[in-house]
Amino acid sequence: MNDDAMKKDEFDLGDLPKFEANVDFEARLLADAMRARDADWQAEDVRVLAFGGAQTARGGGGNARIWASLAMAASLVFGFYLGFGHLGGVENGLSRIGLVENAAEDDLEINVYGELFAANDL
Amino acid sequence: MKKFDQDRADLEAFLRGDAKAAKMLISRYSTPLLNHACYLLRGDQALAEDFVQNSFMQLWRNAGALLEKDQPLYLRAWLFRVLRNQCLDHFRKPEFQSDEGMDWADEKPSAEEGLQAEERAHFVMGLIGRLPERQKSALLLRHFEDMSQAEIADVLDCTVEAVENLLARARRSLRKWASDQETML
Repeated sequence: MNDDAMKKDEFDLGDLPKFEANVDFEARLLADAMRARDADWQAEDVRVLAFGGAQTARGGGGNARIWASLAMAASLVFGFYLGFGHLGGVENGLSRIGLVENAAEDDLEINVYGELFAANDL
Repeated sequence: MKKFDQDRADLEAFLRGDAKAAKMLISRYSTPLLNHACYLLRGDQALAEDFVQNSFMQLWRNAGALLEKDQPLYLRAWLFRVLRNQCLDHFRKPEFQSDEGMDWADEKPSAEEGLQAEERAHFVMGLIGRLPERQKSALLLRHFEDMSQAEIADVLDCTVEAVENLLARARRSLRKWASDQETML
């Protein structure tokens, strides 16, 4: 029996009471969504930090040790794996989380730190 | 834009941090989910709200994975399936094992009440409460959500033919019970 035929043959349920989600409940759901989103962003920020630190440590530079330390600390706290010296992994990781697309080795650092600063409002 | 395209667009926007998109999804689905849960949970609105809240939490957490699938995003069916699974788990707890399942308790009107409009609604709710869970879910999704048999099959994880059977058996039972009750009144 198709849908239309079945509709005609249905037992008439009449007007059954309907339970409505009220404003407070919807606000609670939205607060959950925002918390979930923020938690995800924080995790991504730390991931960027870790990748950025890894990249700086690989290339050297003025703040290399600071970034590497931060990255290491982040990895210890959040359990992220750091692929020191592995640019492909860094690039893939960043591409995966949508911060860079096909970043060339030369501009990867700029993208990493530009996005990192933006993400953390620094 | 088709509904599942709109759902996909909103979910993608949510992942980019758009609060309005999350709000749109909540507005679209919170009442249908709450209503369904209330019926499955015998009118326990507080518990229904908890389960709906959990369903949305699972949505936010799994948004990325859901979007990675190439197929169209059937979010409505996914949400109802997640919600229904929680209701089933709830009734699998030992304290409910001696119960008769997901009946809507004490909704049968007395003979004195007659069958006026509101009372008829309670009368029908009582009858729906007596249906086995799968029949009840199929019927409610059909009645309130106007879901197609294919979509109900997706929610219940069964074939379209099985949905057809569930709806037919539900209708048959309701007709019989209503006839029996009205005869008694």
